[in-house]
Amino acid sequence: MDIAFSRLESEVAKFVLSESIPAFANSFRRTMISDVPKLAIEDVIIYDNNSALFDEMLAHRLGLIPLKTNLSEYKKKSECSCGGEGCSLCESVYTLSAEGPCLVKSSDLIAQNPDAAPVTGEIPIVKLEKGQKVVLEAHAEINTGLEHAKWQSTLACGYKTYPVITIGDNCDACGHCADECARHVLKLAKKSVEVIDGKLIDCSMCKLCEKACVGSGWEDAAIRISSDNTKFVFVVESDGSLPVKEIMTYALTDLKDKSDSLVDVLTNISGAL
Amino acid sequence: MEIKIIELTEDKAKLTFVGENHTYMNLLKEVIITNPDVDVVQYYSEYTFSDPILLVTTKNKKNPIDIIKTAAQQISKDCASLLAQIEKA
Repeated sequence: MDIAFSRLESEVAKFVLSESIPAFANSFRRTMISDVPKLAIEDVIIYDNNSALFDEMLAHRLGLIPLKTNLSEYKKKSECSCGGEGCSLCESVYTLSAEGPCLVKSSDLIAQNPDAAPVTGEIPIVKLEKGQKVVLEAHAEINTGLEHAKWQSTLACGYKTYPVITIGDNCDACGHCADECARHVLKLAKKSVEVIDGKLIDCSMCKLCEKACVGSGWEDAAIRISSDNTKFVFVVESDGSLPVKEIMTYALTDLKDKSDSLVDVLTNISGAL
Repeated sequence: MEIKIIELTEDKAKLTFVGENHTYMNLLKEVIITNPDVDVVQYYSEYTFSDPILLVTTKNKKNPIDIIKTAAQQISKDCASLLAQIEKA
């Protein structure tokens, strides 16, 4: 299996996974979405809240704020030595205190550990009128997207199969397909249409070109769109809590660890028989 | 990973994978099926959230456990090669 990046930044990655199978691409995607842990606010102690939002709505909004996560610093509450009670190894504590009139934003959330602060300070939480007040304490913990979407570290995470465009000999260079293409993948050359260099990856496989080709009088379309089932074009976006590279590495390590432990267990079984 | 054996004969294995879901089971099934010694491979969950059960039967009395093991080793190898490539990127 090979991986070739066309873009790799801290929050976005685009790459082509080749010599693979659809099941692997899908497992990789599912693992990145649901099995990579991150911090999110789970418990909120509300001391004072006479804002327009109910306590539970406020707690829900707080939970969805992405928090910067250092996975080596925190562990899951259920696996912590404190036994799930909550300690500095498995919990990050925040305080919020605001009095109206104002717009309470994520920057008002003061983290005890500055490394676990909200990703951006611009997320609105609640609008307060004169005399309204919110005072609370929030506890964030590590968990995975399988438990709740607030612990999902990817935003857009998906793939498509690599497009394959075949242009037959019966192409008469009428150009209808190139006009029809919404992604501007095709161009008109002397004798037939051609794929513009480097544009193939943009093809969404909508098959409008095939329809245009049949519509222009051919019984059998000269242009055919198919897909390569061994190559996958991935887009992975992070919400900022973890860098994309770490999300990918964690997901692959997770799949690898599962396989390794399965090998161990099966070796024990065949040894016992 | 925790496994429960439901049935194990020389050419048939039925195992429960505790705590797993489609994410890993579908991949494992697809890799096992590429092995020419395999007759039938499928996984199913009795109820939506119950643990998946993997069924493998083999041709010519080949050991099904070894076949599952080879598939798991293959997945592990693929992940390791991708990890090495990401590390370099």
